Amino acid sequence: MIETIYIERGIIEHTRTQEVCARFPRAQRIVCDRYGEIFNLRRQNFRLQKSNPALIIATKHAGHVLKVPQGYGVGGEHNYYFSHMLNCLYDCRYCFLQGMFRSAHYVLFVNYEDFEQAMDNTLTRHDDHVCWFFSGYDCDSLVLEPVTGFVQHILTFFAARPQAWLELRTKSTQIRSLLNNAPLNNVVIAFSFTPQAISASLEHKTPSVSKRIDAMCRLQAAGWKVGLRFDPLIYADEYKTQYQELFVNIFSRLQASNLHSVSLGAFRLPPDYHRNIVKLYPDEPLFAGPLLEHSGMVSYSTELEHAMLEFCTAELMKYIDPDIFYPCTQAA
Amino acid sequence: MINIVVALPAEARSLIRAFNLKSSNTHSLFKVYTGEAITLVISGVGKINSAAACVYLYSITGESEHMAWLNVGIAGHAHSVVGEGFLATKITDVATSSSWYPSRLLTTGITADALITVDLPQNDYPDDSMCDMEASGFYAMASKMTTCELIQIYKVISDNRQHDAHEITASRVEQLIADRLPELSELMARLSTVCDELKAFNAEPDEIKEFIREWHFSVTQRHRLKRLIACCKLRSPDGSMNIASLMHLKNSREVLKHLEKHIERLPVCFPGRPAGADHIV
Repeated sequence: MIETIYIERGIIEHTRTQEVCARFPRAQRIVCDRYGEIFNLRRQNFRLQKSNPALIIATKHAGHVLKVPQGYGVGGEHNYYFSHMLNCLYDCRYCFLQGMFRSAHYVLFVNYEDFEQAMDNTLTRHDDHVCWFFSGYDCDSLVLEPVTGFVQHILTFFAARPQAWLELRTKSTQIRSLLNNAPLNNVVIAFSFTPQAISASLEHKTPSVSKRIDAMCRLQAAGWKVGLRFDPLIYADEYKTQYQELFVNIFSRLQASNLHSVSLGAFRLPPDYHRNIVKLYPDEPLFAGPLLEHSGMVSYSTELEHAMLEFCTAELMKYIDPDIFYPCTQAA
Repeated sequence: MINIVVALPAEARSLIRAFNLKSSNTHSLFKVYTGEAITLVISGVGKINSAAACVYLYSITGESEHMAWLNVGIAGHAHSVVGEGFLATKITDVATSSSWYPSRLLTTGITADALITVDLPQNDYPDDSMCDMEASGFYAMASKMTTCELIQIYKVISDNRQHDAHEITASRVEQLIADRLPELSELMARLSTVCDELKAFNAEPDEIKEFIREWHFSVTQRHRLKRLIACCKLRSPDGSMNIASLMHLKNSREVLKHLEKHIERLPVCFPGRPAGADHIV
C-alpha cells in the first residue's frame, strides 16, 4: 500500500496523476518541484526505504528511449529500452537497481505520449526498419499495471506500428490488460526465471515460479507471444539439478514450439553497484558466493560462468529450436 | 540514540522532565542535557543557531551516523488548532527558496504538513503551511550527518489567525509540548529502534576481537577481515567459524589468505528465509 505520494508541481492536474492518486485516497500527497529532490538525495537508505516505498509521480524530460547495452537483444538490429517507471515492487537481491539508485521509492513518469513520440522519432531515424523497444530494464513492466495503465495505453501505439517491436519483461502475473486485448504480433511478454529454491531465497515479493508459468500459459493460449529469460544465472552447488528441474517444470507446461525467444545471461554487476549492494545487504548469502572482480565487472569466474552457460544452453536445446535462442553477451 | 534540537528553554523543559535528562556542565557553547539514549541541545532562535547546535551536538556525541535527529518546537499556522502536533512533510526556506522533504517511512499515523522557515517573526500566516524559524537550518545540517529516514521535525501549533503569537508565554509553550509527549515518545521509540538496528547491523562481528588480539591488521586488512568473517559465517552450514584452527598462522596476510581459501571450500546454497527477514523495519 502506498502511504506517501510525491507529485511534481507541473503535473498535479494531469489526468493520470489524478487517476493514480484516486487509487490511494488515504496517501499523504506532497508537492515537489522535480522528482530528483527526493529520489537523488545523497544520504538515504535504500534498504530502509524498500520496506515501505513512497510513489513519486513525475515527468520525464529527456532520454525517453535509450540504446541498449551491447549484446542485449533477441535478434533485432536496432535495440532500445525505455522506462516509464524507476524501481520495482519486487525485491530481487541480485537486481542492479539496488546498487544504481539511492532511493527505493517508485517513480512513475506520466507523460506516456512523450515516450511514444521518442519511439516514433527512433523509427523515423531508422527509415521505419524494424526496431525493438525493451521495457522492464529499470522496473518490472507489468507489476504496477493496475495502477499505471501504461501497457494498456502503449498497446494502441504498437498496434499501429508493425515495424516497432515491444518486449515487456516481467515476473508479474498482472496480465489482465493483455488478456483483455487482442494479441499483437509485435509484442513479446518475456518472463524471468530462476530455479524455485533460488527464487524463494532471492526474489522477494515475486509470484512463485509456478504462478509465472501459469500466467505464461494463459497468455500463450490467448495468442500472445511469450519469451523466457534466464538472466541472471545464479550459481549454487546444486545449480545443475535446480536448472534442470526448472526447465522440466516450464517445458512440461508451455508449448516450446510456440515460444518467441529464450535468452540467458551471466550474473554481472559493475563493481560500484556491487559495493553499494553489499554495504546494504552484508547478510546476503548471494554476495558471499564465489564472485570475483574481473574485466571491470563483478561476476563468477570465467570458468564457472562458461560452465553454467554451457550447461544451461545444452539443457535448453533439449526443448527449444536453436533459432529462438539468444544468449545475452552484454558487458553490463 | 536520539539527538534533539530545540530553540527555547521552554520547549525543552517538558522533554527534560519526561525523559529524565540531566544538565551537562562540560558543554559551554550551548546548553546540553543528556539521558540514557537522548541528548538535547537548546539552540536559541533562528536557523543559523539551529544548524550550529546540530554541529555541536554531532561533535560531542561521537560523530556517529547511526543517530536520529529530531527538531521539536512550536510553529504558527493559519487555521490549525493551537496544541495540534505535526511532522513536517516539506520544509521550505523562504529566504533561499530551498526545499527538503523529511522521510515519511517511520512516521505513519502521525499528522503531517508542510512547513516554511522564515528569518524574522511573522504576523501573516501562509495558507497551507506551518511557519517556524529553525527547521531549514536544522534539516540542512542534520542531513549531512545521517540518512534522511532518521531526521524528523515535530512542531506543535502555538498560534494562528485567532490566537496571536503575542499571546504565547513560556509556561504556555511548556504545556503545549507536554501535551504532545505521548505522540513524541512514540515517534522517538520508532526512530530509536531503527537507529539501534542500523548500528547493530553495521557493527563489527564479535569474532574480530579475537583476530585482533592474535594478529596485527591494517585498516584495509580489517575491512577485508570483517567481510571474510561475514562470508565465512554465511556459507558455513552452522553459521559458525573456528578460530582455534588458525592459530598456527604467522601474520595477518596469512590469516586473510587462509580465510579466502577456506571460504572457497564452503558450500554455496540458498536456504529459504522467512518472509520479511530481509527488512530492517
